[in-house]
Amino acid sequence: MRNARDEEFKDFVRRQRTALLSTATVMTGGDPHLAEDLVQVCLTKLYLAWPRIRSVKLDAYARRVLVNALIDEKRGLFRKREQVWAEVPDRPKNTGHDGDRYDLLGALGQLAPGMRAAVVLRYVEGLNVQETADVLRCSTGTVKSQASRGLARLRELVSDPHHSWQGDMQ
Amino acid sequence: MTDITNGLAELAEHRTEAPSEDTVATDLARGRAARRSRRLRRGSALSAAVLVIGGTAGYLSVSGQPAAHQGTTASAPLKSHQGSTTPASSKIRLAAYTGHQPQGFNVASVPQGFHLQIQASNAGSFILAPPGADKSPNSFVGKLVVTAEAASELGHWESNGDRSVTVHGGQGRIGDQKGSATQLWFSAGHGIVVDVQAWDNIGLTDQQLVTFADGVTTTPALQLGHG
Repeated sequence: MRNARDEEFKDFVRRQRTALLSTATVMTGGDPHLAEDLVQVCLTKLYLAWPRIRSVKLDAYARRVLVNALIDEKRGLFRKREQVWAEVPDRPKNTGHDGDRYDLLGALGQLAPGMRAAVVLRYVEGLNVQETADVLRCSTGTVKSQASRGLARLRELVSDPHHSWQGDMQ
Repeated sequence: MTDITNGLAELAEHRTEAPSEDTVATDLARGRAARRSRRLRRGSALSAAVLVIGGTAGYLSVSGQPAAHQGTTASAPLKSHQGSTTPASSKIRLAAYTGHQPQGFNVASVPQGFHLQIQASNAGSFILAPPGADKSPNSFVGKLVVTAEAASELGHWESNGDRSVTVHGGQGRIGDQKGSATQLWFSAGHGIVVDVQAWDNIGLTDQQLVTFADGVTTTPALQLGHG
């Protein structure tokens, strides 16, 4: 069925879903299922707001909604307590390039959502400080401090071979 | 890893393939469902209060007589529904509506036995349902959903659907939501577009849907929903 609003939305999904899912995957520390959940939440919110956002910078708006979805998800404490593990899950051996990627994604997952979003937008998505501030709706100073502290924390986590990666098991 | 920033930049290279059309359609369906649910959820609390206070007075009743809108016809011949999910012949007839009108609308006829199930609090939407239908405001299966929207929000609604009809002497459009419902849009004037969604298992033909729509008019109490 043809519907102007629906067609615009579908065009956006075709163009941007892959990028949103990629960003979400990094933002969740490599959790593809949570990333898919966040993208679905993000797209649903975009559809609801479509009449008033169709004329704005949709890509930036979508990133903002995605970040908010991530923060909201992390605030859902009860939801995070749903999973109970009887045993420590197996982890693949980290070797070479893929091992570095795995380590880095795991380390990202240890950062607070706001800090993680600043790091991902700045250094994975390649946004400049102002663009990142616009997405996160904060000052450029906050972006700089969050990104800097996030990088420092990532270096600590990645360089520590004995880190427990508790976040992976929650 | 010696350079964190280089490692982060490389994470962006891991892109997946483009979404399938099924995925796109599912995202759209999820958005549409959320949109309708939000509108009706806004009204469900008020509706429940009205039902408690008024008992069964909030329900519409129908006379069981054929609709009075015999003169309502589509000006353009409708498609024969080859390949359509809409039945070519009617399974149900329209009946003159004699009960309480939903706020913001006047309804002249409804499918026989249908009653007003939910009135949105913004007086811009309502649901007609048969006896025994799912009472959830989030379920539209087997129901008629009528929503008034600002034409500016719908964009180029005149290109919606794939069939042109005449409703209230003006342009209307009909289209099928594959395997689920038939949708009709028509202009109610003053920049208002009314969207009628009829679930296919009701059995309304396009002509009956046009007749129903011709019997739906808006009143000054109408409040348009947004989003």
